[in-house]
Amino acid sequence: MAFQSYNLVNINNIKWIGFDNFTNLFSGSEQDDFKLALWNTVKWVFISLAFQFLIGFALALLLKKKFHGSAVYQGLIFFPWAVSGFLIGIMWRWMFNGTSGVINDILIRMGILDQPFGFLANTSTSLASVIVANIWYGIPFFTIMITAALRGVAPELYEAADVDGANVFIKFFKITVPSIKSVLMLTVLLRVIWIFNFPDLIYSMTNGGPGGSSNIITSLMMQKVQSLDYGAASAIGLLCILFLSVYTIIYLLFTKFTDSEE
Amino acid sequence: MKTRKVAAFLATIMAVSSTFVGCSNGTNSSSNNAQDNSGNVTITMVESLTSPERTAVLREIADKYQESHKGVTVNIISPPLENADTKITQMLQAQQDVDIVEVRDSTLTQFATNKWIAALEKYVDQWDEKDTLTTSAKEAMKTFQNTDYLIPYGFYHRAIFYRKDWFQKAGLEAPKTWQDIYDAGKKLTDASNSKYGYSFRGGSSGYQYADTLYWSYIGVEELANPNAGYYTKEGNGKTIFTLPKVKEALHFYKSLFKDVSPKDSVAWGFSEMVQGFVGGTTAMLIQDPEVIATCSSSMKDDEWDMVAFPAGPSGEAVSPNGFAGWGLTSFSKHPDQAADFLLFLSNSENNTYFAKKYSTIPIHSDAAEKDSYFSTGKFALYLKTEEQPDVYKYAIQPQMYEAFAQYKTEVDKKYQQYLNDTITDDQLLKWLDEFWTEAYKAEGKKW
Repeated sequence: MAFQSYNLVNINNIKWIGFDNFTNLFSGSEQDDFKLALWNTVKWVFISLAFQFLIGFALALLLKKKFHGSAVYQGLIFFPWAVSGFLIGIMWRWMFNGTSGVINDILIRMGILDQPFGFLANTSTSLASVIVANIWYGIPFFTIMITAALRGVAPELYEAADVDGANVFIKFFKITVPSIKSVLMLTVLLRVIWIFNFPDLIYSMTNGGPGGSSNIITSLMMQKVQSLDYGAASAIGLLCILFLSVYTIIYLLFTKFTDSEE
Repeated sequence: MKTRKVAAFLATIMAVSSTFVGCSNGTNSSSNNAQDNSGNVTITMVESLTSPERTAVLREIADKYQESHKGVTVNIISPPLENADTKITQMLQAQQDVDIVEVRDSTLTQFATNKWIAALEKYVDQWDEKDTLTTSAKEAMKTFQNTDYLIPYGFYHRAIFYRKDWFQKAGLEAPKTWQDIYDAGKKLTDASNSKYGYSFRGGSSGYQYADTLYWSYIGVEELANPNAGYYTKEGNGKTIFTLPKVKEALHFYKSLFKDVSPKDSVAWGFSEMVQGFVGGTTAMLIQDPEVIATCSSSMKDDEWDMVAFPAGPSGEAVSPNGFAGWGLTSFSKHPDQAADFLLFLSNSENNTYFAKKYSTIPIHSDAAEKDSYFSTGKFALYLKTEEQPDVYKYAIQPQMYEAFAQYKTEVDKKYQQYLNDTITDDQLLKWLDEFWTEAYKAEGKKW
């Protein structure tokens, strides 16, 4: 389909057009939208990932030790992961609402803003807003995985380090990180692919708008499906697979995943 | 190592197969329960402009039909409003079991070009109620290639809904012109209290509001044809987007957004703008009569009122003569039974009932006699505008062009970019001009 002019608007006129769908994306009428979406995808994936990873890791370290009410606390932290992406999108859309959203209300009460700001309605803040929602959504995954991994680290290692007089940082970088390295890599690898393939939030919060400013390439692909241009949507889909395959290969080579296992 | 090779091989197979998923041609029409052994018939109907209230009215009429036609079951499918037309297109393309489909003025060309809907002359010619159809209804039926591809269920004529209580408190008169909307809106806007003048529509189909402004600025006489509202009478496919007055109207359109509307409204569609008005965020709303029902049920009588569509500097108030109706699919397994139900749905009694419940302008000329609702109260406004044909005029986008389907999907994004200062007025107008000049070149004069 990616090499066809396949548009449901006129299905009597479906024909092979070679690479036209692709050239259209890179140099034709779609190039501005596509390049913006591509750059947005990079920001969307790496900013989301960095914060999800750091905050998730920090929470996992806090949850390592059992404390009074830690089970309840754990349950609360995992909550976002259990909710569907669309629901989260709708929830955050209300929170960011430019007339009666709770975020605007808090900022006005704190005296930071003097009148409501349309976070999702502004081309310069729409992407940042959906990234914030995505960070919130993705933290639990890291917390769950890393907590599980941390509990598997033998306590003897830390006792031995204490005997040697190692400080917290040395223990962290010499014991904790190396012990759970494979889990960290696997989760990061998985998360990049998942975040890349996660247009649900964008779809329900901004639908890529306003003016395409919060589109990533997967949400652009959804829009192409909605506008019934299946040829262009398939072309983008094929590119997604290509990007992700290349990414996976590079990542595995770079981290020498195979070596660390054998 | 061996297991890893096997795993890699399997992964490759999965990746490759997933890329070919899209390559089937998707004509797997299933024939599940259209007709069971006992001879029972199921008619499936898909609606587009869905609302829970409207679905209930349709269900009521369908139940009435089922009672008088034993063995016939009418099944109503209501996809979510926002993507309903996309969903319908996919169902029609896959030739799923659908017999009756809601056809809108904006989807008619697409459905008929693709031969998904059937011509209805065979049934309409023998219909005993065809003589009471209004002229507008007859014209609407023949919109595409002079063939009856649908029977309209009603017309949507837009009007201004405004907060009577806010206007009285501020000592303002009901708005008559676009400028009045801006001036009153400016007075009523108080962003720190989340109060705004106007329910702006910047999301899906927002361009239609810009279009009505253009027409109200230049006047319908400048158009080649009111049904092809983007072309000027100069001919040769010259578009309205190069006219200085259109640029002026576009600037006014932006000032409505910037000065008197909520910031979020850049993404507002139908439900958000109505919600904004009913929920007490905005003071004015321009919408179809179907909103009357929503306002009546959610607001007190002294809180709101309606006035006719606003006039522009040309002295004309130009709005689209929007319509929608029901069509019969070309692949229906029970076309005769489905057509019978379609005519039942469109008969004077049922259509008048539907129009009253759903607040559309009915298609039979005897509706006002049948029900005084259409000659008194809020609806009387529409009768009054009919009496001033030199002020209240109709025009519509060139929907008969195949390019229109593509245009619809791209144009809102362009306007949003303009409203957000990502592109300039000249860039937007150039894009519009080029798009429709190109469409004229490719498809010729179609009106």
